[in-house]
This record gives sequence, C-alpha cells and structure tokens, in this order.
Amino acid sequence: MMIDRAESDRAKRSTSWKMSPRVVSRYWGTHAWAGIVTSLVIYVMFLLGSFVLFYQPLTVWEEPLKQEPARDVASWQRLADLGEPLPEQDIWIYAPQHERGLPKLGYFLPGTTAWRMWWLDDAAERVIPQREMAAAYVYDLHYLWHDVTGYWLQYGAGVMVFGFLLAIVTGVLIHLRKLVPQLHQFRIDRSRRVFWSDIHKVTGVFGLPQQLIYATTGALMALSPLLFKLSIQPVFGGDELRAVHTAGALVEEPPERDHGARVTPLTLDQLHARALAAEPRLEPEKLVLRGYKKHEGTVDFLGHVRGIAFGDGLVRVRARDGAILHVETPDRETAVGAVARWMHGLHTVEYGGLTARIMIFFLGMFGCITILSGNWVWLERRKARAASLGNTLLERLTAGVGGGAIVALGSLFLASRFIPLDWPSRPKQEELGLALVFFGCVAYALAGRSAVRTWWQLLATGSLIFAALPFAATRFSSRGLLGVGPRDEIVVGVELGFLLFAGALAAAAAVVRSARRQAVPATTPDSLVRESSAVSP
Amino acid sequence: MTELLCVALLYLASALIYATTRRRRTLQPAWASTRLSVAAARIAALACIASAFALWRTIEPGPAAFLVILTGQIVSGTLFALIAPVAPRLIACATALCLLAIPTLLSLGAVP
Repeated sequence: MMIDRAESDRAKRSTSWKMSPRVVSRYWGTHAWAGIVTSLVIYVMFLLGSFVLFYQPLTVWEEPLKQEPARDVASWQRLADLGEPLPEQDIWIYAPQHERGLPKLGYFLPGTTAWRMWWLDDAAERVIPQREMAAAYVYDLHYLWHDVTGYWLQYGAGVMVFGFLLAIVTGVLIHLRKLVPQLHQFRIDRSRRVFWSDIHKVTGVFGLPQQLIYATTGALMALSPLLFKLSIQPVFGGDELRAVHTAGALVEEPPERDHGARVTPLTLDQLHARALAAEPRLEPEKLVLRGYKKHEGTVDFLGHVRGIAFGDGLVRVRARDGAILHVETPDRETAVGAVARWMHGLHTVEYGGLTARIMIFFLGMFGCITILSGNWVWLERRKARAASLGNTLLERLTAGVGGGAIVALGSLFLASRFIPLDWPSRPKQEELGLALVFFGCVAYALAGRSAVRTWWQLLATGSLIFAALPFAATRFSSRGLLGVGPRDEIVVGVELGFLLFAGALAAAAAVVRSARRQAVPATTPDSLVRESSAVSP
Repeated sequence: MTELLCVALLYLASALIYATTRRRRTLQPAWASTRLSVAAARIAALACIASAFALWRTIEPGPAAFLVILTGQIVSGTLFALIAPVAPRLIACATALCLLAIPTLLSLGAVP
C-alpha cells in the first residue's frame, strides 16, 4: 500500500500540470498490466525478429546448396515443368536470390496450411525437397505462424502487439514531462529496483521510435489478412478483385476463387516477356501461378523495380492470352498500396544494408531488455508485499522464457548441423527439438528455486551452444570460419555473429551471477519509500 | 568504408552529448565544465550527425539516410547510457579509437 501511495504521489507531482491523479493512476495500471500480459510473447517476437533480420545470410549458412553461385534462370517454364505434377492451387516459383543457390518452387499441400518447397536443379534435372528449415522456423515463429495453428495464432500475435503498443503509449504519457532525463539516467549504485527501473527507462525511451515503428507495422502486417477479409463486403461491396487491387502489397495471398474450366495457357516464358513489356523496370524474383491452366488463371511477376526506394512491383497477366490485368509499381499504386509498401519496407529494413541491420539487431536486443526489465520492475515493486503465487510464477516464467528462447534458438541451429541432410523427417525433428528445448527450459525455471540462478544458467548454456555452432557447421560446409575449403563471406559473417552473440551471452551470464553473489540488498518497504523520491517517474 | 565512417561519427556525437550532460557530473570530463566548452561540444556533435547524414546520402536517398542515422544515434546513445556508468574506461577507450578511426578512414578515401 505504501508503494502505491508513493507511486501515486510521484505521478501526481510529475503530471498534475496536465492530468488528474485518477487518470495518471489509470495510465500506471494500464501500462503495468498491458506490459505484463504481453511481455513474454512480445519478447519472443522481438528476439526472433532480431535474428530474422539476417534471414538471408542464415539460409546461406544452413544450406550448402545456397553456398554455390547461381545460374541465370534461362526458362521459367522449364522450372515449372521440373516441378510437375503440380497441384491445382497457387504455386510460387522463386529465382535464385542474391546470385546464390538454385531456383525454388513451393505451395501449400492441398487442403492444408502446410507449406512445402523444393529446390529445382535444372542442370541435373532433379528436384530436391527443402531439407533445411531452421531459418524458416525462426521467420515464421517471429509472427507466431505455424502450419498446425494456421492464421489464428498469427492474429493473436497481432492483437498482442496492440497490447504492447498500449503499454508504450501509456508509458510515454506517464513520463512525458521527464522523458529527456530518462535518456541518461542509469544509477548502478542504488537498489535492484532502481537498477531495473533505470534500464527499463533508458532502453525504452531511446528505443521509442523504433519500437513504435516495429509494433505498428508488425501489428498491421500480422492482421492484414484478417482486415482484408473483413473489408471486402462493407468497403468494396463484395468485389474481391477491386479489394485485391486496392490493398496492393498489403495482401500477399488473396482468397481462393474459382478460375473456371481448364484451358491451354501460354508458356511462362511468353507471359514473362509480356510482363516485361508492360513494366521494363521490373526484375522478376518470384512468380505466383493462380489457376494457371484454368480459363481465368493468372500469373503474378513480382520483383524489385529499378530506381525506387522500397520499390517492389507486380505485373499480373492472364495465363490463357497474356493480357495485362494489373501493374503495380510505386509510381502507379493506390494510397493503401503506398502505405503497405512503406510499412513492409520499414519493417523488413529494406534500407541501409548490413550496417542498418546490425544496428537494428542491437535495437531488437535493447527492446528485449526493455520488455523483460519491465517485468523485473513489477516484481521488485511487489517483493516487499506478501509473497504471491502469481508473482512467483511471473518471476520464473520471465527467467524460463527469457533464457529458454535463447537456448532453444541456439539448439535449433545446433540440431540443424547434426541431423543428416538426407533424412526425410529432418525438418520435423528440428522443430520438435526446438519445442522440447524451449518447454524444457520453461519447466526447469518453474521447478527451480531461484529465478536469478536460472537466468545465468540459461544464458551460459545459450552462450556455449552459440559458441559451438561454427564447430558443428563444419559437418556440412567447408566454407565457414573453421572450414578447410575456400571461405564464403556470408557463412564466415554468420559464424562470427554467432561467436559475438555467444560472447555477449557469456558476459551477461557472468554479470547476473556476480550480482547474485554480491547479494544486492533486498528492497524493503522503507527503502522503497526512500527511493521513490529519488526515482524519477 | 563510408558506412564505417558514418558509424564512427555517430558514436563520437553520442560521446560529446553524453560528456556534456549535466546529470552525470561524476562521469564528466574536466573540459566539459564551462558553458563555452559545453556549447562547442554540442555544436560539434550536431556537426558529426549532419556529416554522417550527408555521407549516407551519397549511398541512399534522403528518407533511408534519415532512418539509418536515427537508428545509429539511438544505438550509440543507448550503449553510452548503459555502459558508461558500468565501464567508463571501456567507453573512453572506444571513443579514443573512434577519434583515431575518423581521420584514418578519411585519409583512406571513405568520402566518395
């Protein structure tokens, strides 16, 4: 009760110039509860999102096929023929990316949300099932997508991010008057509560622009399929095609429709030529075939448009006669399309190259610290009260999920280096390993006596696993740091990144362990009241 | 090299801003005690940020350059705020390295 009064008094002093104490108190409550409810899920999304920044390099690291130089795509039709027999639903064909590896073909298995891909080796006339999925799992789990759960978990993630946005907005409103001093106020010589509170505020206030950008764009991207479906009837009067045209890049997969009777379409190479005639600046990287051999079937040519920022474009041609149905480039797009393009470009960091990605990785890590330190502030503030099952659970879950997600991520990459490449159930085994390690860590934390001890143990374990990755990688590739073959700069870069991350985890584990040994004085109700005057709200 | 020079300039800007922040007197260098030196340091910090922006404009268009510079400033600022109180010597050494790196990169032709 004393804590609440102190908090309330402080809040009144800081913001009474603008808001009534009742409003301020509500902001405090909303900030704390929105943060606690969403924190662990959002933390996992932030952590995985930080690694997804390096999705392309990770796919090169994990798949030896992508470490070979690519051949130009001489014929799109030949690639499609290699994939025959193809099912009747939508088919995606990808050109080699970043001048590496082989083309790919993918589709959802009929009647399911299970996505499968195949490498197309047109020189050897063979099709190789995608055998390495570690980076893809990280990518999908970043927005809580999974074959089994389909869209509902992704929509749940979108809603959670709105909760996180609520925590950000209320946090800003509470600290509005003293926002600038929070940028440099980190007092290491005070109690644990002040320590966590300062870390929470420094990383939170500095990271505010990025957290707002990523939370807003991420929530909209996760919810866009749902928003699109809901808008077709009330906004577009049920005209699905007009809705698709208006939404532009906001909707990657328009709803299923009947494409009519079977016909003999033009070849993909003929359609490619028509698409380039319609938009010569387009550099097709991906084809989407929707009802290709049907009367109303279409082929989308997607790729970068030369000379335009975040400039992805699309040319849609009718498969049976090559008629141009839709051309979408940044200079032709609708207002919704422009918003979608900027949203996508901002969220996926289509600017700044590797330098920007490394810096945003740091920001992602700071975001993780903001989220978890918020939980710790909550716990420290409530430690002075009688012990409660909820707080004990939160403390252990924070340690279990916080450390466990890192250990599980490292284990996924490590497992991908030990399971034989030609084992058919390899992707499932990787996934199973990831889930087992994560839930094992959470169970360990729940059963443990000390959350701080669990923290440093999990951080140290994560450090060991990430440090082992360059050694394990030599099983499948000789192009890494420790390989005997010619070095590949991307593979070497990824492995250096793993080692640096391992070093950072080891340092964090050492700091947590030594802090535990130094026995920082526990926060008591009296000390809280004394400190409350020292802590800026 | 241009990217590295931008990062070094942003780091230096953060160092100058942090050194002249009144709240952290205990970590302030002796030279940052007069109003004139504080003002000069802050102008120098702004010049560093503006130079980094101008340099990145040679690589990418304005909006992208702005996003990169904003991100760089946030990262270096957060690192300063979190590491300086814990390991002031480490941060001072990094700043010294940065001061060496900027002329070295300039002499190596980092400005296109």
